[in-house]
Amino acid sequence: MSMEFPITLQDVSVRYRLPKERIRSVKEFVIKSFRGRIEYEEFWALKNITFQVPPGEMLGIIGRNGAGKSTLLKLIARVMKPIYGTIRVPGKVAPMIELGGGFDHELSGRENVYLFGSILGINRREMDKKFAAIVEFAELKDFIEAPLRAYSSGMIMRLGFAVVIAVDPEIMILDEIMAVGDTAFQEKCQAHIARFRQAGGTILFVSHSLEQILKFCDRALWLEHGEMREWGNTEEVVHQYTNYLESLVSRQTALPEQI
Amino acid sequence: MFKEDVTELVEFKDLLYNLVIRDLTVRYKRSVLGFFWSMLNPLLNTIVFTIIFSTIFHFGVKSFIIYFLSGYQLWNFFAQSTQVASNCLLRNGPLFKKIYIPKPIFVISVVLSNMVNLAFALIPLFILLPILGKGFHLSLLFLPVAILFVVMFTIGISFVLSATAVFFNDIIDMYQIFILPWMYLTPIVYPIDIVPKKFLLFLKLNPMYYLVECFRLPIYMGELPHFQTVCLALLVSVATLVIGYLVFTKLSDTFVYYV
Repeated sequence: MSMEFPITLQDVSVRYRLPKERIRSVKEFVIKSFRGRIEYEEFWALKNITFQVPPGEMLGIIGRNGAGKSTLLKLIARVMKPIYGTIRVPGKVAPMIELGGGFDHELSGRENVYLFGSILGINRREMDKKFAAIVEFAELKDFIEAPLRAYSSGMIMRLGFAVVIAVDPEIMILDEIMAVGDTAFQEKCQAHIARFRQAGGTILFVSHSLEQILKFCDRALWLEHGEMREWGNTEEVVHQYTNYLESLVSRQTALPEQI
Repeated sequence: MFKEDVTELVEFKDLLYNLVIRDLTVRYKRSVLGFFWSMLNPLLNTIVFTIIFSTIFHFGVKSFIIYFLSGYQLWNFFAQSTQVASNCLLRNGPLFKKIYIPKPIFVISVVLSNMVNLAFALIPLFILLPILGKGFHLSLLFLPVAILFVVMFTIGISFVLSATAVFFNDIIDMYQIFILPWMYLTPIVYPIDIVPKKFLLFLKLNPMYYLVECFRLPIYMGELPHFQTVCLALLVSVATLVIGYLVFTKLSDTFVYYV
């Protein structure tokens, strides 16, 4: 029996083709098309990305801004399609949305749990069963009937995290999100993440905190200008990346002296 | 393509349900007046137009009220749905940029929640019907068909507006400006009889003319619309829905780059 990996990318490339000047209205479009043709700019957000993540692993993705990290996450979450290459993600993917982007502030906590749950593909009956556990995990029993606009941002994040883990996905996407709530709540989240991985769940973790990457991830991917710069052992990749960042900093500080 | 979209909609029916419920709760929950506000506007308009037409054109007050309200409430359904739907992709961009959600669901949920509003808006009309001496006729059984026509037409227009508004934001403003003259070009506030013969052709090029006729005649005259009118209404609404759907699906993979 061949085991299927939860995430498989084969030669995946994404190209953005956007107008050089952002045309946002019909008026501009008409004026510009009369004056001459509209120039498009092409750039490769991702180039020849190939990797597999085995079940139960946590992959850390690092790289500077604009390196293609969020494009990669969008591909895996099926939000975007690649130009070339193939992606296989057979399981359910649950992305953590920062500050509960799937929530509506006019609705109560309870209504939001059902709404966000249905966004993640949980139907009403399943949610009825999970509801108590979600409220319990988020520690929001006394506030669950209050409208979300009365919540603090920490409370919203806790609720969001609780719904995502209740969905019981095969793959979880954590985008700079380990700082949910206070220390006690963070420890609870981390304990849950550990259990999730033991049960064979896969996690993609994007962070600028190399410390967190080192602490949690089995494997790391360093993206640079849309390409895979390094892939493999977390310590090694992070080490290379740190060296690279330092060389950038020293080059920048050296610059004024040269002039 | 179409089959997949339908299966997906069934898969996400709980989300559709929750989105409709959200629209309605946000609209009606926070104020008891919410419901009455939505009645107040047509009521005021009815008074104004009744005064105008009964004094200037010596039109019977009783029948004018029914004539006006039936057309106006249907028009309101169409106008409000399309206006709210026109920016529904832009509004929900932050969401479907992170999580895979079938995009037609946003358009359809807007139209469905406005259908509920239409049902509410028809209550005063049906209360007035016997009071103003019109009574109920068997022809009212045709109304579900007439509503189905308008719903198809509305979804089609909403598909086109919401999809193109992603690329050109000013489509929304242009439509807002366009919708008012469109209403006055449709015989809603004035009787068809006062339209001069030479403008009749112009009137008949307006798809909303047929849709309003199909809805209004069973209520106002207690008779079924002409066979020809029904055929044209069916043709116009199905064609608009199909074209809207094709435009929407053609563009939907690129929404994520632009919102």
